[in-house]
Amino acid sequence: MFENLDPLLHQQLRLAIISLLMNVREAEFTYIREKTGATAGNLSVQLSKLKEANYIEINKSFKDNYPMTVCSITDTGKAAFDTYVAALTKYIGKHQ
Amino acid sequence: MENENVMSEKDSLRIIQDMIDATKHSLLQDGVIYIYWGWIILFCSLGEYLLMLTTFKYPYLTWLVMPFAVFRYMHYVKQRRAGSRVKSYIDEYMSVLWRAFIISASTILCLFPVIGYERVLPLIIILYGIGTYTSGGVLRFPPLTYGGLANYPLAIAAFFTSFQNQLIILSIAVLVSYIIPGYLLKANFKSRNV
Repeated sequence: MFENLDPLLHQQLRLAIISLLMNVREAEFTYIREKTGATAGNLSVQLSKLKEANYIEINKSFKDNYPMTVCSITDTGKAAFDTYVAALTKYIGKHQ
Repeated sequence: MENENVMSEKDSLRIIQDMIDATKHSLLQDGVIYIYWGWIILFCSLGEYLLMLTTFKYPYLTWLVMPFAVFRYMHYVKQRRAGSRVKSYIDEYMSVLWRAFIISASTILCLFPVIGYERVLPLIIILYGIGTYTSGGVLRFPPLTYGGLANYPLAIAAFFTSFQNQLIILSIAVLVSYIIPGYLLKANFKSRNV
């Protein structure tokens, strides 16, 4: 039923990550984990997949001697999200 | 959100909506900044007014607390930024807005020998209106919006009265557009984060 939907985004955690990053300039790993309720391991895996597709950027640095991972959405990611929402809207429109 | 489950369109919409809800709140919605500046300006303006009623020669000295207030505020902002794990578009916009406010207010203050000291406070009140009305709209908080709007009739009234009375009008302006909305914002923020 969802043949036109981007398979990379059509997964709960990845969609949650992209939806979250669409609304902020950038967010730390711990913030994303808290808001999505995901485990650190699963979140890392899904972030890597989104990064490989160039949907997000991941910057690693240190803050007060602690490692800090900051994520932000790329233009490719924004376009993919827009396309996903448009396809979803079209599907809902057809089935109402 | 652990599994690669097949999602329905309702699941997708719910996830998108949940994330919009989770990120729509701004750090500035705790009201602290409005309360802080509201009380500082109220202290300075009302203090000057009261000192003008006495024989004290330099009633405007109350404004000397401003450099300390600015320094304390910058330290607070720096601490808050360091503790923040997310940069929202709202925070970014508000930061630019209030920077523009500070530049505009400083320009007016520097030009007071040209425009006349009796026009300075009404113009500053108009700037309060821009800052708080816009903030209310962005934060979607009507008390801040209405408080911001109240600055305009107050500014008009201030143009037609003495400098001493302008200080009272300025005090009313910060009370209705900063202090009261600030406390309401704080209460709203607390109730949402309980």
